[in-house]
Amino acid sequence: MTEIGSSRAWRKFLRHRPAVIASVVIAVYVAVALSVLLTGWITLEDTSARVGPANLPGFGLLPDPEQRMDNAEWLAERIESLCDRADPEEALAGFRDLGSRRLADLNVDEFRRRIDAIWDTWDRLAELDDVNEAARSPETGPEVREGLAELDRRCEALLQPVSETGSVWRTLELLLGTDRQGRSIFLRAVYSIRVAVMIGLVTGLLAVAIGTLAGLAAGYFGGITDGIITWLYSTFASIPGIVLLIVLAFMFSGGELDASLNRVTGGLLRTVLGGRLDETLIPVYISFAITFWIGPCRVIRGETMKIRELEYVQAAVVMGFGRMRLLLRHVLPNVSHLMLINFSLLFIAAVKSEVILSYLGLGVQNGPSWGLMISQSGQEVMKGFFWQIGSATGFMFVLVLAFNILTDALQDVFDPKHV
Amino acid sequence: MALLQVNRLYKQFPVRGGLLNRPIGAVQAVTDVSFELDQGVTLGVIGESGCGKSTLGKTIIGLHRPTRGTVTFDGVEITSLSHRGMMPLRRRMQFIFQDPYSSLNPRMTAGQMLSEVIRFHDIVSPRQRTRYIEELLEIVQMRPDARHRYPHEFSGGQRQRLNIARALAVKPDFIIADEPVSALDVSVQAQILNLLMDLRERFGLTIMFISHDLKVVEHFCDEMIVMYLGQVMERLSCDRIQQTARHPYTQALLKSNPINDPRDRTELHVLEGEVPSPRNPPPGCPFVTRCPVAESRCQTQRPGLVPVGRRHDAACWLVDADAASAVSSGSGKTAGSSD
Amino acid sequence: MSSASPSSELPTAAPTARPVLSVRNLTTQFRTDRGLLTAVDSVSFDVFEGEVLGIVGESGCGKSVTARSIMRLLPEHITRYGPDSRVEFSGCNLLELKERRMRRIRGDRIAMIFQEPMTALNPVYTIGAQLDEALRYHTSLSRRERRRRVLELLERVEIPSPERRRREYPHQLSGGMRQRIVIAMALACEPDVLIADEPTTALDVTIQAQILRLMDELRKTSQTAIVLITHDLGVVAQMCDRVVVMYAGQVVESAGVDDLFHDAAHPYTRALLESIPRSGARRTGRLATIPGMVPGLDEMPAACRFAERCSGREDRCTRIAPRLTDITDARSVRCHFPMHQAAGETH
Repeated sequence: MTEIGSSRAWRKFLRHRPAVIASVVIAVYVAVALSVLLTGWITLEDTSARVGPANLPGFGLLPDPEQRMDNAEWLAERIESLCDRADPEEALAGFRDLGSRRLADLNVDEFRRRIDAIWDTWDRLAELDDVNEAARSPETGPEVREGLAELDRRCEALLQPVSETGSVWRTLELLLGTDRQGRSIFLRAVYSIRVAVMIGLVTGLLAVAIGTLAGLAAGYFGGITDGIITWLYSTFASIPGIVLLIVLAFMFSGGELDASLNRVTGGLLRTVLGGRLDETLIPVYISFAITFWIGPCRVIRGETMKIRELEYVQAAVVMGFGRMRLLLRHVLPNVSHLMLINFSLLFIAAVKSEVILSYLGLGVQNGPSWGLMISQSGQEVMKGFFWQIGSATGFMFVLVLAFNILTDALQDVFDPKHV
Repeated sequence: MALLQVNRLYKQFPVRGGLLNRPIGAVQAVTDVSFELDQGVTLGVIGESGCGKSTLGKTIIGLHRPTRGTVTFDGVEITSLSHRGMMPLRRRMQFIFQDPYSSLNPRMTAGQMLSEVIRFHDIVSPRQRTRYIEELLEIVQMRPDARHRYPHEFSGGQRQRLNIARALAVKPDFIIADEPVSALDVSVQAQILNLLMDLRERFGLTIMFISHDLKVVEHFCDEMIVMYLGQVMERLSCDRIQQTARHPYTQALLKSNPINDPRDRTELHVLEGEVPSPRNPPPGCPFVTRCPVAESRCQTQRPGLVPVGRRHDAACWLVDADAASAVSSGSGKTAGSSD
Repeated sequence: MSSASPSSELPTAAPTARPVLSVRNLTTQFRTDRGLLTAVDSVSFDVFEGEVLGIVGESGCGKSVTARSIMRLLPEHITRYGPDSRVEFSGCNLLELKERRMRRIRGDRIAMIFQEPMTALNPVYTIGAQLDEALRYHTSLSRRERRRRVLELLERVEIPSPERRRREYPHQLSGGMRQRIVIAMALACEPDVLIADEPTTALDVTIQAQILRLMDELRKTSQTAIVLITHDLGVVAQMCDRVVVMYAGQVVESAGVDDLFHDAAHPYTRALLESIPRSGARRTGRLATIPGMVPGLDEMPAACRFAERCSGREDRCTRIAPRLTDITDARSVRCHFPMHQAAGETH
């Protein structure tokens, strides 16, 4: 039992209300990530499937009139083209573009009839110079809005009604709207938690492990060991962090190095995690670990140098204890709180850096991530559609904020001045 | 034969500086210290901060490697022993540290700490371990349930008792206590001193007691050596030091010592000046810069430690001058001060 | 080298003059995680011109908090003073003063020196610059006058070659020298009261003697009232005229220094005096000790706070809290069974 587990530190932590809330938030994120990783209730296919019209706002709000016309046009054209195929029955049966939605049980003629009706309404609305303007103006407004509603109704008539059991899933899919390709923003944002937590955990653990080992060695043995390790981290630290990350990610992603890395490390990880670990993330893990070990190393080196001179370590020397026992029993437990705090700090740093790398196209290669979502939402933002960028940053913000609060609380709890 | 013999011990610490962190000088922490300590004797080492008394203790116990000189313990020269060769002697020599707050590992309970030591040195059989830990706690007058508690749950005095218990756990013959009571309040200090006196009696311990407090040393020790700037100024018995002290520095220490009774209040005797830096000590007598009676040869020639009475040595030219007659006539009278 | 000359007068009774600083029922509480803790409990004392008042006690007895309360140096947001607490200085209650006015009093009229001189000095300025700043802030002297005054102050605290030392940084000085600089800063504005919190605890005995002599000279030459806070009874015996003994946040005894050392009335004071090693009682002589520990701030007994450790404890002591009572006009003691009348001359 160490002081980390001691009841006093615990009580102090539990009194820190915001930190407790933050821990709950983090626990929820980790639980979601683990459930996605282990049960696969959201699959990669779910996140890339078209679930509805493009750029649908969240919470069941209606898109602007022009977007609604575009969406109706897209659907009508798709189905019309299917009807024009050599074997229309089969083409219609294989319709997949709307994910969980299915086409109504109708024959080809009925489809053509209903599509024609859509075009009727569409043409009527298309005669207006500016639908958005017209929908707002007091004279034409009611008529235009009625036309748009009719258009939506007629589009809906092409599809089967949502089943009782499917409705919850459907609500989730459309909860935060859809992106430019009609994919569910909610599912993509939630699936990205998995990526973020994986990167945070793996790089955090790796970097803290490397940093602790290097810091203990440098601080305790001093001399040449210290010289080499100090030189190494000074060199790494003198390169701006993000530039180093970009270079490393560039080095490791794609090409032979990547392939061989994947073969070696991926094979190992596959046996451990049963293939659930995203192997394309290995370059990210490696480049992050190489960049991030510096922080914990520096702190733990300093603390070790301080502890080495403390009298309880000297007392252990007088007792004749060997170096390993000194390090493991008398030094390591006394830097464990720093390991925890640094892990917490690195988790945030990794999550944020992943977003930046993915935004630059160097991070996550397939599947959604908050960084990719932000980078893809560029054009939407110009059109005034903020649901995708808002969701991605919101999910990230909550996680990072929670970790920041937790880190502050940990620092308070373990501050020797108060302990 | 003496249990401990220290022979011309030197310890220098390199001072590093500059861009390349090269050694640019050396601090002379301990310079040419020799003494013998007989079994069962308590030797006080007194001096002001920076005089090298702590370094001396740590060099003897092996926490620092001496620059020159030897330490012989029970006939074995320990300065040249390897880590492994030293192991059997580790059990017999122990150290009690000054700071009750930093001398206990905060992540280990009292019981874990003692148990680690006992197991490592295989003091008692595993079955008797708990019993032995409780016995140790009892020896230092703590309750047996203290072994489940962490250092932060103890007061300064209790922590110092645990330190003593740890040192006693290996059943040593010789203990170096480095300012064991100076971080404690007066009443607690008295408790710990009493405890140490009892233990000394009970286990026949030989103790080297390092302190800056003349009253404590006078009370607790049989003999003392007075250090200044890394060198021994005087070695004398603790009996009637007020009368027998002969080195001007020892006399100055005695006079600077706060009084016990306001009726003894006198104009404070003040030693002018500051202790010179141990990086460049004066070439002659180290005390020359503050000595009230210094002569010209004190500036240039270092006086050696010479006998001035029975079990009484001093390193001072002026004491030495009339020492010859003092030794031959067999009486040591106070000399050297201008008061 | 100075010569020995016994000082004749040891004033045991307070002078009849009005006190410079008067502390009345000072109660200082801290809001903490463990609730409201009382660190100082209705402490009262007076300090007169030109006298040295000692406040003695072991760690945690509240002596430093008392000093910091007088100077209002405690963090405002967690500190609470009792409703009838007063610190009277030149006609106002310092506890109620606005921070702006308090700042004018601090350093100017009441100065304070601390145990660790390094923390009181700013490491990035020369000592001359720091002394100059104190003068600039509190006086209206011209640049040239200030410079002369800085040298004067350095000379007064016996810094050798002040012209050179003036340009040095704190880290270039020894501990004793630093403490003298701190005293020089405290004296810069010729304060009426100097509060010294363990001023020599971090120093060696020979340096301690220098600092004590310096403080004694100040008191004599400028009639500064000194409040000397210490745990060292030797320092008290050497320096103080009157002594206040504190235990667990309360004053347990206050008396003239001679009475205190020869006829202590409170069992705690007695035990404290007996626990100091003395010459002559060597090797075999056990020291008197006080069993047990000071009660924690959150577990103060309602009755006598010393009862549990007291050798003369009686039933009444664990039931009723004793009040601080005057036993002669210059002495008071907080004990149901004060020892002095019966014991008479000790030693």
